[in-house]
Amino acid sequence: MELIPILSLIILVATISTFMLAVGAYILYKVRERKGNVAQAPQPAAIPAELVTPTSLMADQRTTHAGTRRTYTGEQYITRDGTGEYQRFSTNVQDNVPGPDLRPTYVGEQQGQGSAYSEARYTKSGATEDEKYQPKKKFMRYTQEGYSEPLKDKIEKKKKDEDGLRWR
Amino acid sequence: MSKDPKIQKLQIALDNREVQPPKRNEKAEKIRAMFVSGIISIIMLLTIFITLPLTVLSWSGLFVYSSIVSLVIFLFILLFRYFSTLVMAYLYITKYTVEEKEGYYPFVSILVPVFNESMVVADSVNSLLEIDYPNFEIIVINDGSTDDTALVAESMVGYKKGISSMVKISLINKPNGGKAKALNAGIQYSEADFVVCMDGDSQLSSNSLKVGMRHFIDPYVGAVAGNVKVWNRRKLFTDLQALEYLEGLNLARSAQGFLRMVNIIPGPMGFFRKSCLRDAGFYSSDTYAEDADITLKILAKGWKINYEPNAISYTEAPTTLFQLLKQRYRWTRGILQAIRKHRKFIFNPTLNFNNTLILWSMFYEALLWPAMNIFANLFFIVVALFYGMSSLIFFWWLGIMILDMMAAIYCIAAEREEFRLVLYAIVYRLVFILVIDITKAMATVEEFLGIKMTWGKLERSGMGSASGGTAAKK
Repeated sequence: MELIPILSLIILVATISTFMLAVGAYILYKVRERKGNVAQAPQPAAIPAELVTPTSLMADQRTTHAGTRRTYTGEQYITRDGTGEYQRFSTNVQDNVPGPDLRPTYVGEQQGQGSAYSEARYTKSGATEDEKYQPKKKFMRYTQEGYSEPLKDKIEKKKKDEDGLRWR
Repeated sequence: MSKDPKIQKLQIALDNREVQPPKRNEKAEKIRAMFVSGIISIIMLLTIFITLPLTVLSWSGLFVYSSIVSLVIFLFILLFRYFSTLVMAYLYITKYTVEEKEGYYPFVSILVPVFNESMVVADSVNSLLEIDYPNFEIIVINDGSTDDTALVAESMVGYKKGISSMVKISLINKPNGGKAKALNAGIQYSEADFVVCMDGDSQLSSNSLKVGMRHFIDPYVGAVAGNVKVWNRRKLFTDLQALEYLEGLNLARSAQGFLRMVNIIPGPMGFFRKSCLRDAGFYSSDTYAEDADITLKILAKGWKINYEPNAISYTEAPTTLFQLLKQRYRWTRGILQAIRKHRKFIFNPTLNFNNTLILWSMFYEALLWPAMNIFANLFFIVVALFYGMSSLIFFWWLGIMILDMMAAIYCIAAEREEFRLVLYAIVYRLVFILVIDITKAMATVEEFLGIKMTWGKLERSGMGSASGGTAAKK
């Protein structure tokens, strides 16, 4: 059957051509990229930025805390409320927390607006952030009542039911 | 500029710090690598010199024999990889299809980092307004763009009408610092417990948030990887990439989803629990693949990462060979940098066995697989040219093509994609993957030599509105 030698020749030529094309293209790419190399400046610890946001955000934060963002089922999704769940996250949590000690973004002097936003955001609460992020509490399920242990039995039962369904 | 009088501009300060990896003595590492590889090479050569006369082999016979053994091992690994990936992907999709899932609709911030994306940012943000989810906001982070991206993004700030509710769109203009720092800025500003990180040139499907967020009912899940598809098809080049995304990336993610250990959450579509990001130390800008790096950090902390096949992000693939090489070069070096950063897990499975498994698979895909593919092709070229056995390369290509076609048919059927892409499997491995693998090999050499690199910027032509496009959109 002479088809195989012909196809073999085509494949061989295509493979060799691909090798040459790839190597040539790579060399050209390196030559072209070398022209655009720029040295990177050292990055400061904090950088100024500009936040462009709708004004009505401030009205929402002053007047509504819990319930601002409702879940689809109508249950109240806790965002920032008087207990300071998110404030706990937002405020300085440098104590005993590994990784970068992220400062919250703060709003400096606004252009023609009050500073209620910054005050609301950075009120320190008495709750400790550490409790939330200790390893044993890392996988705690977040519910409306606060953090709760994951329901292992429920999950295992659900998995068993799934297994039963899968292997039926 | 927005005509809305209720837009305000505020000056803020962003924390620019990151978790710093341990300092590396690159010079000492290079010397050690040269020394160790030199010693190993000398030992191997001495072994060959001493033992070869005791065998029936000559030097050319040794070359042929060892090449054949290498190819047989490569073939076994290839078959094992293909079938294990297909089986796990099938099991995952089957489980995904039959299990019932509850809805979960917490407040989500969608982060859109942009750098010189003036052509595409409006379409990307408009596509987000078509997401069918009741509770989300959009934060655009302009990473020091030099074109009019800031103006275009600013014109979109405000409360816009979404499908289920009004959606707040905010903009952060910051100095250029890379995608990792841009995402960290958005995460800092966001007040949600969950964030979705995407690319500035991507468009999400309307149900992506609904299907992606329900995975977080499980408190062990820290992140969810989405499904990335190529938007700009109908050209040979981009059709091949569309097939590659289906067969090479999404199939592997589906298999990893079965183990709940997706190794790379794609940049165009990633869902994150903020506490998980905090646990992992947020994004770092010390690699050129921040998506691979953050994924490995999340896995190292013990979180699970699921894959959601119906959370689709449409992205614009490179349309020229130069753009493709630039992209793949960065991907390869970035992934190698991420692997190097987490190398303690490679040789010590007692630290985190899952991470060891994932890193070895990434090491194989990034280093061994391209090397084996190139070696196999070179071997058959040499054999054809110097020994006259040209039919061997044909049968090699035929076998690989059948495997690729089989995987392509499965992927296209599972994702209900365009069947015409199956035909591209004929040239997929022969031409396209060979070019990619050669680029990977060169990038690997440069990474080990420590040659400096830059981000580069892919040119965009714009995808147009969500109603248009050449990809099959669900």
